[in-house]
Amino acid sequence: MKQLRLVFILVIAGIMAASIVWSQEQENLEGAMDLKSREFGQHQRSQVRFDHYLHETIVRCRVCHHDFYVFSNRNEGKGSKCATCHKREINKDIPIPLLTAFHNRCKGCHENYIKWGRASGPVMCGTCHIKT
Amino acid sequence: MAEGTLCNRKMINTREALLELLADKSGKLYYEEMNQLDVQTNALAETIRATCKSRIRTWLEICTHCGLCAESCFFYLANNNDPKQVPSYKIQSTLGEIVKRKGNVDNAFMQMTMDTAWAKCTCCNRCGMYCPMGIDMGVMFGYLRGLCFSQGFVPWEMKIGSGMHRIFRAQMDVTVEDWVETCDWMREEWEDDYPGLEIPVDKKGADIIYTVNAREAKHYPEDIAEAAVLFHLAGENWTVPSEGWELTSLAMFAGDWEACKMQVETVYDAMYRLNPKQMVATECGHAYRATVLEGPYWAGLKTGKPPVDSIHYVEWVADALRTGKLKIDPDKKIKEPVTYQDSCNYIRSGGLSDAAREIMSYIAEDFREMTPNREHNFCCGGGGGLNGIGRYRQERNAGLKVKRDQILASGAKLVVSPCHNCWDAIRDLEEVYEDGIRWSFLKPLLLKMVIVPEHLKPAESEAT
Amino acid sequence: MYQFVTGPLAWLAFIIFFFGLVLRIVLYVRGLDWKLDRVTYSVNVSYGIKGAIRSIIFWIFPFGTRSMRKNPVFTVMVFVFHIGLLITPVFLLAHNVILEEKWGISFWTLPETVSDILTIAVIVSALFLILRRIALPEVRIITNAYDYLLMVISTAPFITGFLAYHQVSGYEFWLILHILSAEVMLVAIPFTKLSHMVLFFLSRGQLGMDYGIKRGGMKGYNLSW
Repeated sequence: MKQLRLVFILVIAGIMAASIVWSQEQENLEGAMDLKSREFGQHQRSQVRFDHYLHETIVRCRVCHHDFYVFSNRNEGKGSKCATCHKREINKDIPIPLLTAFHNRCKGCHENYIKWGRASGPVMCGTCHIKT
Repeated sequence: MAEGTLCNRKMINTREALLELLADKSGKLYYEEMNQLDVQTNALAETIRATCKSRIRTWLEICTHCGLCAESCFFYLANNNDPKQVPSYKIQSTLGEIVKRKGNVDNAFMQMTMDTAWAKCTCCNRCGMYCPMGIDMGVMFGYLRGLCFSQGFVPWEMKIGSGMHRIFRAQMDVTVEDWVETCDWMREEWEDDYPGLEIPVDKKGADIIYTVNAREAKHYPEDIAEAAVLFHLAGENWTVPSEGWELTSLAMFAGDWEACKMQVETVYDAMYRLNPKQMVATECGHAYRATVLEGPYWAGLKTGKPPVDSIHYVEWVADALRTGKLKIDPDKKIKEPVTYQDSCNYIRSGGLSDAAREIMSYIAEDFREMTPNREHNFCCGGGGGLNGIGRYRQERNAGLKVKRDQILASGAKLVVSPCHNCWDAIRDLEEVYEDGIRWSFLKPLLLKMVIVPEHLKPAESEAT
Repeated sequence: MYQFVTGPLAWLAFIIFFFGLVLRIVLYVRGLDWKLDRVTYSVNVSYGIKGAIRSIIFWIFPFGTRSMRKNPVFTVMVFVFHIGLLITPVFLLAHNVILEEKWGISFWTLPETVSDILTIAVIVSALFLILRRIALPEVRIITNAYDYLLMVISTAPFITGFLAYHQVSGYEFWLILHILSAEVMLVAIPFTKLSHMVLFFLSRGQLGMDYGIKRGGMKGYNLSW
C-alpha cells in the first residue's frame, strides 16, 4: 500500500509541475506576437516572434507606435497599422518601406543598444527569423 | 664566369667566329661546352626586371591552370597526350620558374629550358586562341628564347643563324654580289622562254619591291625566276633591292633581338632608298611575320607598320587572279583533290586565310580543307626554327604526326604550302612516313596553268 | 563579434578589395609597353578597341569560342560557377536588406529559392572543378596546392552561407564564419589570381588588341575565336 501512495504522490506532483510550466508558457504566448503583414504577400523569411510584454517594460510605446492615438488597438481594432502608411515600396509621402520600418525598429534599436554598451536583443538575421 | 670558345654569351659578329662555329660539325664541341657554361644570374635578373612587364607577368600569374591549352598544342596530341607537353606546364616550369626565382637558376635548368623552348614549342601561337584568359604562350616562349640566347643557351644552328644575319644580313652566307648575280643568272636562263623577262635590280619608284628568303637565292634560284615570270606575265612594274632583299629572320627564332633589328632595318632602308609603292614578300611565313608584322617594332617604327605597304605573296596572287592580271587556263586547273597548309605566321598571326581560299578557288577544282583550318590550323610541326635543329630531330619528327593525320583525313595527296617552313616539314613528313604526299609552293603550280598572252610568247623559231 | 565583423572589418575588406583592384588595373595598364609587347596600343587605337571588344565578347558568352565548344561540360560548369559566384552575393535578399539599412542602396533581389539553387550550383560546380583537377592528367600536372586554396577561399562563403541560411545547429557560428570567409575572399581577390576578376578583361583585351592591330586586324580580318 505504501508503494501505491508514493506513485500517487509522484503522479500528482508531475501534473502540478507540468501545469506550472504550461501556465508559464501560456503567459509567454500571451505577450508574444508574430509580426506579419498582408502587405508583404508571401513572407520570404520565417515570421519573427516578437515579445511585446518584454519591450513594454523597456521602451515607451511611442518609440514604435509613433502614431499612438490612431493605432489599431486604441481604436477598437479599427485604427491604423504599420502597413497603413508603410508600404512595400517607397512612395513620395512615406519614404520608409515596411520592411525597412520593421528592421529599423527592431534591429536598428538593438544595434543602438549594443553601441551604447547596454543589454540588447538579437541583430543577426537568423536569430529573429528562426526557421521552423 | 666560365665560357666556352664556341658556346658562350658572345655574339657572332665576324666571319672567322662564324667559320669556327660552323667547323664544329653538328655542334658536338658546342654542346659539350654548354655543360660548363655558367649562368649570369644577376644579368638574367636585370633583363627580366627591364623587359618582363605587366603583360607577361600577368599571364604567368593569372593562369588558372584549367588545362584548356592542352589539346590546342600539336606536341601534346602528337605525344599521346603527355601531360609534360601541356603548354601551361611547359611555360610555367621554365619561364615561370625563372621569373619566380629572379633569374637564380643553374646550368641544368637553363639546358632544360632551352630544350623546352625550342623542341617543345614552335611559337605557333595556337594555344593563345584556346586560353580563356588570353594567355599567349607562344609569345612567352619567344620571350624566353631571348632570355636563353642572352645567356648563351641556344641551339647550335640558331647561334649560327643569328651570326649569319649579323654578318651577311641574311640567314645564309649570301652576299649582295651573290644575290645580284643569281638574279642575272636566272634572267639569262629563263629569258629564252619568256622574251623580255627582266629582274630589275634597284629600280627606283617601282610599283613593287620584291623580297625573298635567302634559301631561294642559295638553294632554289628557280623560285626567283618563277616569281619574275609571273610578275612579267602580270605586267607588273617591279624590282628587287641589291641590299635588303632578305626577309627571313633566324635571329627571331634564336631570340637575338639585336640582330632582328639589324636585319629588318636593311629591308626598310631599301624601301626608303627605292621608294616603291608596295612590298611583296615571297612565299614564306616567318619572313612575313618578322619583316612585316614584328619588324616595325624592332626598328622602333611608331606606326607599327613597315615604311611601305607590305603584302604577302598570297595577297599578290589573289589580287592578280581576281583582277585578271594573271589568267588561268581552265583546262589546266588542279583536278585532283588538293589541300592548303595554313601557315601559322601569315594565317593565324597575319589574318590572310581569305586570300588563300580565294587563290584555291581559281586554281583548284577539288579543294579540300584540312580540319581544323584557317587560324585554327595546326602548325606544320617544323615552325619556329625547329626544322633546322639537329639536336631535336626526334622531337620534330614525332610532332609531324598531327599534320600527317590532318592531310590524310582531307583525302588530298597534294598540299599547297606557300611557306618555306611548312614546305620543309611536309617534305620531311613524307620522308619519314612515306604516304605518297606531294607538296608545292604556289609559283610552280601557277606557272603550269597560267595563260601566256600572245605578245609575251617566244617567237616560233622552228617551223614544222 | 558580429558587430566587429560586419563593422570595421567589413569596411576594411571592402576598401582593400576596391582599391586593390583599382591598383591592379593601374599597374597593368602602366606596365604595357608598345615596343616590348609589340603592339601599337596608342597609335592604331580604333583597331585596338575593336579587337579588344571582340576578344572579350566572344569569351564572355558560353560557347562563344571554339575552345569552349570543344569542352562543353567544362564550359557549362565554369559558367554556372561564375554566374553563381557573381550573381548570388550581389542580388541576395538579405545582403540587400543590410545594404539598404547601412548605405541606403539596394539592387533588385532574387527570390530566396533561386538564391538557394544558385548557391548549391556554385558548390556542385566547384566540386566538379576540383574533381576535374584530380581526374585529368593534363590538369593535374599544372595543379598545385594554391589552386585548391583558391577554390576553398571562393566557395567557403557559399558553404557557410548555405549552412547559416538553413540554420543548422550553431547558427551564430556559421553566420560569423560566413562573413569572415567572405571578407577573406574580398581581401584575397586583389592579391591572388582571383584578381582575374578584372585582369581577365585586361588580358583578354590586350590579346584582342594584338590580333586587332598587328595580327591581321588591320588587314580587315576578323579572327574567329
